[in-house]
Amino acid sequence: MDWQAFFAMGGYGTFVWGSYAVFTVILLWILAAPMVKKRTLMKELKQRQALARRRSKS
Amino acid sequence: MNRLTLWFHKLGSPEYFYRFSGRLIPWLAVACAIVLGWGLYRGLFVAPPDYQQGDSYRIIFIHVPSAWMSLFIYVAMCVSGVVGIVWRIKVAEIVAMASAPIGAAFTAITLVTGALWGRPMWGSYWVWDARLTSELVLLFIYIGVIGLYQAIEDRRSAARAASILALVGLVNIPIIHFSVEWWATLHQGSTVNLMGENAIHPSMLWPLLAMALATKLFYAFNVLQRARVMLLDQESSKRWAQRAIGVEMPGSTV
Repeated sequence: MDWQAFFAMGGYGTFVWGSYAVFTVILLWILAAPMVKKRTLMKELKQRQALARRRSKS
Repeated sequence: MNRLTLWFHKLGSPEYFYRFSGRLIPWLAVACAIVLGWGLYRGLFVAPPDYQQGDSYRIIFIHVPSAWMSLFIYVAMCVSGVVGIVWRIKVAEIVAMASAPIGAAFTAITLVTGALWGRPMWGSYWVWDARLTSELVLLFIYIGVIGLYQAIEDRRSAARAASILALVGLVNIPIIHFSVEWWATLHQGSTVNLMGENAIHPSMLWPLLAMALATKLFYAFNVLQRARVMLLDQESSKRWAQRAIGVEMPGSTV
C-alpha cells in the first residue's frame, strides 16, 4: 500500500481529509456533549443529596 | 389494544424509557462502529477513483449521508414533536428536542463538506444555488428551534413552543429535496434512487449506503443518550430517577 499516494488523494488531499476531519470533529463533539452534561448533573445531584441529608439530620 | 400499541404506551413512561434505552444503547454503539468502519474502509481504500473527479469524489461518503441525516432528523424531530404536542407525552417532547442539536450538526457537516467539495469541482466554496441556500436555511431553522427551547424557562412549554416552530419549518424539507429539480442551477441531481436506476457503480454505492446506515445508528445512539440525560435532569425530584443513578434523597416524591 502506497501511503503517500493515499494521503495525497490524487492532489485533492486537503479537501478530502479536510472534509473527513470536519465530520470527525463535529460528531465527536456531538457524542461527548451528553456525557459531559451527565457528569455535571450527577455532581449537582450529589451536592443536593448531601444538603438534604444534613437538613434532615438537624 | 394490540401488543405494539401497548408497548408504545409503556415507552411513554419516563422510567420504562430510561431502562429500555439503557439496554439498547450498547448494541447501537457496537453496530454503529462496525458499519462505520466497514463503510470508511470500502470508501477510502477499496472503491476506485472516479473517472472525472479523481479522488475528490470520496467526500460523497460523508457529504451525502450527512445531507440525508439533516432531513431525516428534521422529520423525526417533527414526528416526535407532534406526538408530544397532541398526547402531552414528556418522553416524546424530550426526544424531539434532543434531536435538534444532532440535526444541526449534520446540516453543518453537509454545508462544510459541500464547500470543500465545491472548491475543487466548481471552483468556488459557495454559490447561491437553490440546494445550498435551502440547506443553509435549514441550519438557521435548527438554530432557531434550539434557541427557542433554551429561551423559555419551563422545560415543557419550551418543548411545545419549539416543536411548533419546527413544524412551521417543515415546509423547507420538500423545498430542499426538490430544489435540484425545480431550479436547475449548479448542484447536481440525486445519484441514488430508491426506485429505478442508480447513477453510481456498486463499488461506490455500497460504502455510501453503509455510511448512510452508520449515520442513522449514530443518531439513534446519540438521541437516546441525550434524551436520558435530559429526562434525569427534569425528573430528578422523582424517586425512580434517583434510584436509577443511586442518588436517593430524603423526602422526594414518588
